[in-house]
Parts: sequence; C-alpha cells; structure tokens
Amino acid sequence: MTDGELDPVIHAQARLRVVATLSAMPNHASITFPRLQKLLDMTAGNLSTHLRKLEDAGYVTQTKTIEGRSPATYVALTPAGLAAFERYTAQIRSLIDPTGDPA
Amino acid sequence: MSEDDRAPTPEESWAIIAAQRREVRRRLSVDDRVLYGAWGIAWGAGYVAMFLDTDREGLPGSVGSAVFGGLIIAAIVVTIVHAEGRAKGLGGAAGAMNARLGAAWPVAFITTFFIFGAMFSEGLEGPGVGIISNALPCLVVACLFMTSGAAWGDRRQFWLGVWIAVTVSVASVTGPPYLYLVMAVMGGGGFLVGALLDHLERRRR
Repeated sequence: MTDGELDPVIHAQARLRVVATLSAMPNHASITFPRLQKLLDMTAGNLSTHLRKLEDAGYVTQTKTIEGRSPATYVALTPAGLAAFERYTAQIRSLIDPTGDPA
Repeated sequence: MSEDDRAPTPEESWAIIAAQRREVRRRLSVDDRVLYGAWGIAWGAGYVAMFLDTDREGLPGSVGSAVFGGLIIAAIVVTIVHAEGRAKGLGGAAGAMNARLGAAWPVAFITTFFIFGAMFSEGLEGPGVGIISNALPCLVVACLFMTSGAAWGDRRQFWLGVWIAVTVSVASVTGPPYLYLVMAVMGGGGFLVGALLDHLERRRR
C-alpha cells in the first residue's frame, strides 16, 4: 500500500535532493561532505542542517575518518533511509498516476 | 519557512528525483564511451602502425613500436584522469573495492615488465618473443576486465574481457606479422563496439 502521509523528513525540497542523490550513488558508495556539497550546490551550513535532520531520523550516517592528516566526513544513506525513500517514490508515483501500476 | 523546507508538489518531487539521478550519473559514473573509445583508438591505430612496420621476421620496428607506445600511454592517462575525477570523494565498501581493483593494474603490469626483462636477459629471440610480449599484458587486461565486470555486475565489461581473451588467443595462434592486424581489428574493434553500445544505451535512457 502506498496510502498515508508523505514522510515529512523527505518531503521537503532540499532534503529530497539530498536523499535522491545519496540513493543514486554508484554501487551504494558513500561520498565526502565537500563532494556532496558541490554536487548539490548547497552551502556547507545548509547541507549540515539538513543532514542532521536526516541523521536524527536514522536515514543517513555521517562517518568521520582521518585521511593522511586531514579529517574527512563520509555521508551515506542507511538501509532505513533507502527503504523510506523507496516508499516515498512509490507514493509520489501513485499520486501522479493513481491508475498506474506501482513498479 | 524557507524555500528549502517547502513541500514540493508530487510533480515537482518526481522532477527533483529524476534530475538528481541524472546529475549523479553525469558527474560520478565512469563514461564507458570515453574509456573504451580511447582504448579502441589506441589499439586500432597502434597495432596497425606496428603491422605496417614489421621486419622480415615479422617483428615491429622502432617507429611502429613508438607510435603504439605513445597511443597506449595516452590511453592510460585518459583512463586515470577520467576514472579518478569521477570516483573522487566516493568511499565505503564500494570505494575500497574500486581502489583495490585500480591498484591491481599497476601491480600486474609491473610483473609483466619483470618477466620481459628476464626473457631478454636470457637472450630470447625470434617470433616467439613477439607473441609472448604481446600476449602477456593483453591477458592481464582480459583478466582484470572480467574481474571488474564480475565485481560491479557490469556485463558489458565482463564480456569485453572474454572477447579480449579470445582476441589474444587468435592473435597468438596467428603469429607475427598478422598477429598485429588481428589485435587491431578484433581488439580495437571490440573496444569501439563497447563504446558504441554504451552510447546507444545512454540515448535510450
């Protein structure tokens, strides 16, 4: 079933862009914060705010590592985040075309 | 409420999802047309240059070998710059596997150079040298293509590896000087067909 409320964590312009991007990573790779920021063309502060909301919902993980001497943060979608995004896309699809078969 | 937090309409949501997917594919995924195209040209033109410059024993002269070497180096540079640029900033298990598969290439090629060095210092000569010095690095390419294709679930890359193995077999049995023509047509042609298939698939999406 695809009825019910749209997930408010995902159903906001900026966070939908973040989640859609992370869900499309080749081979489910994680991505560094700066590369994600460039890909989305968002400010660092803005992206951090949205990532924190997604992290609080359990949809995203942010892993801090040290590469050489500089710290790097890798962002990835969690299995729960991917499941929520798939549910969201199915709901959107049925809203656009209620007669269509949900794929 | 900021523009960012605004709830999009279903149509807007759909458009956002499609746009982000396109953007990721365009900026993060390797473009096989670039890689296979570069290798198709390098093998196609490079092996033809060697074929046209063979001596009476069927071994390539210095001009043909230099043209081939230059084109191969150019293709290696294109591959590294393109693949590194696309994979920059990607991590996780997929990133680690990518890095290890990437490292396998120089390890295997450096090994083949040691084998060649040992062969020449033992004074090996004749058409057999031409067969082995062509087959060894090409076999490395065939094996790593099959491995990467299997690891990433990329069927086209896997079958291209199989095709290169078949090409090396046919070329080796043929022997010099036609070995180089076989490599140009079957090997170079195989890469170009791979690039064309990728192009057609991208247009369908």
